[in-house]
Amino acid sequence: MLRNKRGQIRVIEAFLASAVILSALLVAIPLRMTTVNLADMKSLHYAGLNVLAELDRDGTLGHMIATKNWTVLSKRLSILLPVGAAYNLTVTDEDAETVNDSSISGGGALTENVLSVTYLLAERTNCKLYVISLQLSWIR
Amino acid sequence: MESSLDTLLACSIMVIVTLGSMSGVITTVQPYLQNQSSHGWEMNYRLAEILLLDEGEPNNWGSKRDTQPIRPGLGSGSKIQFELDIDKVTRLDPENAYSLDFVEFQKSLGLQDKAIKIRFRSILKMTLELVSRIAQEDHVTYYFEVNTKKSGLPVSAGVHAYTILGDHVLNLTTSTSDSGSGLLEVELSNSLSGVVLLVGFAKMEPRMVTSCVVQFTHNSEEKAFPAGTHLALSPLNYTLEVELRNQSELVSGAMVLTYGYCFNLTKIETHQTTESYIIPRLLDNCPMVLAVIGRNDSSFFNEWTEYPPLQFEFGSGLIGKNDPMNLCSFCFLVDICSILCECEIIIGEGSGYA
Repeated sequence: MLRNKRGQIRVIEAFLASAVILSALLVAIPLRMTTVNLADMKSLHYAGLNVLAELDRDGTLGHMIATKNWTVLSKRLSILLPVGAAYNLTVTDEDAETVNDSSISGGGALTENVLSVTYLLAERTNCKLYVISLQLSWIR
Repeated sequence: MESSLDTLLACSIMVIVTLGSMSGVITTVQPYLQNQSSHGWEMNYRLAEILLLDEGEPNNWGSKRDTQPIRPGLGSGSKIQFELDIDKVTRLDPENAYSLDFVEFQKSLGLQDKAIKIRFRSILKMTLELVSRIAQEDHVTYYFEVNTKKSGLPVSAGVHAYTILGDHVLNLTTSTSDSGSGLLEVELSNSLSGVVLLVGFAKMEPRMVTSCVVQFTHNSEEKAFPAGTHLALSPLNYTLEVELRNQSELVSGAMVLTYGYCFNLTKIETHQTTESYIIPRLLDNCPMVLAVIGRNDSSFFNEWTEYPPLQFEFGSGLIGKNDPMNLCSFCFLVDICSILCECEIIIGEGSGYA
């Protein structure tokens, strides 16, 4: 009987030892993922900024906003942003009023790790200032 | 029984202490680790950015064929971010006779301990594939399937193509649908024969243009030859230098092809084995395909090159004996002569070559 109880304790010990190893793994995995995500998020931030700057290069971005051509703007963002990036763009004017009357988004739904790129745009035809806020996230 | 309870208690305490110490260590070390990895990434990103934004020294090193830059930046010097100089990019193309030596390039950057690879790619990709051929009494009609893609996904684009067979040039226009495919019909008279050069351009907004060149034979047993067989073409500083591989061959003309234009180039210099042509500065936002038509004893041949080149790699090997470590890849949207293209810069620790 005593031998049986000792056996049970050995089983519990083994179980606890496995629990220690498993919990160590569970704690270690998120650490690695967080490090990788940071570089991914930074590259997405720079990519977003790069795309907005490229669209603004010849005044196209300002023209699309002035003419409220949200469909074309959305299409161009979808083309230029990296594959796997979801976005949502909001245009606000100098009085912080939202200019876009319809949603400018694509690539899927934004996940929990969303970053925001803010771009100040000077529209050349009507000499207006707009603040463009581009929210981005990787689709997992 | 008591000893069992003791062991259980000891085990539980052991588990709690181990987990507690692990999370404590992780909480303390994590910011340091993140900062270290982030610092390396950030530093490499800045390096890549400087390479694209800086004009380098001398600032016109790209257009001077024999000049080795002291500091090789690719920027054009304009106020527009990520606008690259056409000739600086051209001098990175290993196919060009005036291409920079990578080891020298690395030394000028002062980054001998880093592996660097620069990749240029068109954002828009185009393929041309011969799908059928219908022979009629006086002519043959060739059907080519055109496919346009962006990041592997089909996109709709406008397509303009040219066929060159000897002195005969044909203009063709079509487009691809939302499924990324279209059909190009090439009709060639039976009075012609030889290897035909089909140059296609696909264009879509914003400022994305790509080219695709294929060869096929018409009424001839000749076989299409790989590029560079007859001539070596090196464009730089809006001058095309043509070097004959074989002295028995003759160059009968050179032309520039873009999405909207096609015309002959003017010859400015002739030497024993080389000829030079002026490349015009076109307003068309499109890579120029420079096609040279030549003649040997029996037939015509065509050679071509792209200016600026938009599909090449420059730099150290990333896989091999001396593998670099901690590779960081950065992708930029860049402008070369108002053409939007992708430039990927990969930086790693270690030279990448033996």
